[in-house]
Amino acid sequence: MRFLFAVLSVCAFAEDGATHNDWPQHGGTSLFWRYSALDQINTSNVKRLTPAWAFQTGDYEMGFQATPIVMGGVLYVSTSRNNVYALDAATGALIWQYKYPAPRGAVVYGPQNRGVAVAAGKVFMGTYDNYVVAIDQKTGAEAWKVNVEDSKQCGCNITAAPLVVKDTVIVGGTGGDSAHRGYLTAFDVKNGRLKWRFYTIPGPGEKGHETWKGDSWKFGGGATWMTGSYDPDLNLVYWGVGNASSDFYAADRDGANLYTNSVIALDPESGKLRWHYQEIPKDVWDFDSSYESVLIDREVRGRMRKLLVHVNKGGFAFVLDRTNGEFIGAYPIIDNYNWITGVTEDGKLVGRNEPVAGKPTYICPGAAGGKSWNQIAFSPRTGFIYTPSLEVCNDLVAGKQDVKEGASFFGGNFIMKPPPKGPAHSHVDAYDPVTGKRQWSFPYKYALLASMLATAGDLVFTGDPEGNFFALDARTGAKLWSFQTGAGHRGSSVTYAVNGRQYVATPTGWGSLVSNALTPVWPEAETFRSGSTLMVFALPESGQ
Amino acid sequence: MKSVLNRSLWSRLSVDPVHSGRPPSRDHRERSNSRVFTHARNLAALLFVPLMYSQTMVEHGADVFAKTCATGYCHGTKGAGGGAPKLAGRGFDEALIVSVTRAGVPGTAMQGYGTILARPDFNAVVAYVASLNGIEARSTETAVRPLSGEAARGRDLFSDPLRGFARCSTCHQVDGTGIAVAPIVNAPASLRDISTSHVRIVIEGGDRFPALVVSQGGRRTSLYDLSVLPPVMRTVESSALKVDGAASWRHVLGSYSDGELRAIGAFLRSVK
Repeated sequence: MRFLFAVLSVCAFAEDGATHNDWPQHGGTSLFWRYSALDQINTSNVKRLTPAWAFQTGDYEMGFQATPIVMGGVLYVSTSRNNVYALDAATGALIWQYKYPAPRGAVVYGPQNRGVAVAAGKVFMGTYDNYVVAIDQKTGAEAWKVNVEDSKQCGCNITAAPLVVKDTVIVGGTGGDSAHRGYLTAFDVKNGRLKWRFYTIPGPGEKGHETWKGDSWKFGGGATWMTGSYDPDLNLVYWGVGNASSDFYAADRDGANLYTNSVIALDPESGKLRWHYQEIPKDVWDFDSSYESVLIDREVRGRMRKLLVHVNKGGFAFVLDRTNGEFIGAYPIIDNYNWITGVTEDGKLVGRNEPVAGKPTYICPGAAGGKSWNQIAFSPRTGFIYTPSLEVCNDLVAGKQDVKEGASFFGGNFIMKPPPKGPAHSHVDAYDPVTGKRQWSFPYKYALLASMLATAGDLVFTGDPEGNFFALDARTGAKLWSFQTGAGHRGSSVTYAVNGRQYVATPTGWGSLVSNALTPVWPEAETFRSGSTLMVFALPESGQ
Repeated sequence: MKSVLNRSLWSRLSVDPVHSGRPPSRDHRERSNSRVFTHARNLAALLFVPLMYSQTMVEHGADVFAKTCATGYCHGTKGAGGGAPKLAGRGFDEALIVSVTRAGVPGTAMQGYGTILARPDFNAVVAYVASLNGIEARSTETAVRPLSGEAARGRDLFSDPLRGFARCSTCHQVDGTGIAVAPIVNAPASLRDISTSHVRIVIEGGDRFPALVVSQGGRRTSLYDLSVLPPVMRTVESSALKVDGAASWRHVLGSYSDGELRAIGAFLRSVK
């Protein structure tokens, strides 16, 4: 039966997006499936999964949010204060460590880091004071370090993992809640020299500039605070662009506000824009479209299409043709939404419910998102995507705010509220990625803020804030295994193999901006534990 | 709300007597406080004596707080706490509130607002946070060094965001703004005449590039590669490098006009 599925899968999908022994890139591969072809650990034996080793970093500020990278039996992982560790992936033994010097003074958005990229003999990382560093992959010695912009001036820094395409390392930045103009910056992997910068808000004379009123483009947001994807066949880089600023008050930026809340496709060598698709024109809800783009090939209405599946903070999945940005469809991955009533067949938002100045408007989902940045997964075996959803609303108050470069620029405030019927909660779901048909749903009483990991063992792994790391049956959503790791989950688990033994590794340690702001809807959030331990699991070795 | 006036200071200033004994009507109190405050503030600014918090100042501070500090993932409505710590009823003293508000908390998201907020906003928000901690009067005023109009324009040009990397602050830090790649030493009257003789030519394989050598010794050499902006701090095996003579490298001043450079010069001299 499993063999038959595998054959069918190969027919339907190229397996390009699957990882094998390594977990070489942030999203698994550059197609960002967060899916491994390994199946030693599977639905029939996962209940025997047991800890293999653990590594404590000691750096628990803002939680442990990283995605480890594994190459050739070595695991590379970064902490919130940008310390990097190279570990023997089979034993957890330390190979080298890189300790990042603490910046002077405060850092905007606080210390947070979501991972490194490994390529061309180097480990690349963006830092919380807005540098990009390249570390020698063998020794841990710093090879180069370059500042992207004065963090205090731009109100921005780097939390996302970089994306390496050939000899170019591309980094995005935070700043969407600051008076900031977003951009992507690309450097030469060899020596850190600037290759290009792409501003997500067009300047005077550029196409799209007319979608901004007056000077609003100068500090209009459009942060690129998560990691992009890359299609080697089309040679296109895809990146999600965040909310427009000020977040909730838009009278001063009347217009569509390109390219905020868009997916952009760039040429990796030149940084030139090839196409864009704006999911939310004139965002007034802080509904970043900065999340991951999952690149899959699927038949749509009888024709094989190269697709891009992208969930935004508004809780909608958008399906685009990734060759040209054509809208294919959109569907909600949450039950509670009232910011729009829906999306038309040609991608227009219907029934916008906008916050007003000076008095609260009850909006679902909340500004923390119908999905936070924790990432979805796609399994070519089931053909489903696996999504983490938050059913949390908020009272939004908009207000005009004076602009000062780099300063906080929300243009209002939000207070989290439960949805109209019943308490705040979250769920993991399996969807057909094109039609949005829900296949199963796994409910959970608090916020699920860790990424999904899918495997050829037909398992979906993730963790919860109470400390449980668990496996669901990818076909039914049944919980098959769970382990109490001692601290909440806000990172991205990965799987890999060394010498024929499959491992599943997950960062543990609760934290992050959203995690720390949940008490209005979940007083129990006070009990979710921070920490910074990488927990690694495997099946018992034979004979045990 | 009790009177927020510091009576001893009030009496020292010897202006009209305020209410004593029986509390005045609310309307009278607010009018009186506001008027008295303005007067006292002027005197205080002149004499550098401690200021008092007025009701209007606290109210203004509440507004600044709501827009700046309570937002999003931070201190919550009325300082009740959210993603960032609770600020109300913590028993904070004024010195702590002033210093943290001004300088931030190293290593956290709490940045210093001393240069972000305009001075009246800064003082007001301190007054408000103080009021959340039961403190009703005291000083926040410090002498502010005023910049001339030209120097203020120079400060803005120094770190002008619309110039991308082609601005002074890409390599120089003044008054806490910018990246401290190289210190500014003895800026000449005309910035176009800045000497850059310490920039060297470095040869690495087939690559020749201008560089600022930071440390050269033993196995590794650290340098700023100035091939393109922004400068890249690189650490290279010394054996793979040859440091040659002075480079003909010049400052990247092309994005500034002569008039703009004069303004930047005025700024640099004023912060010396």
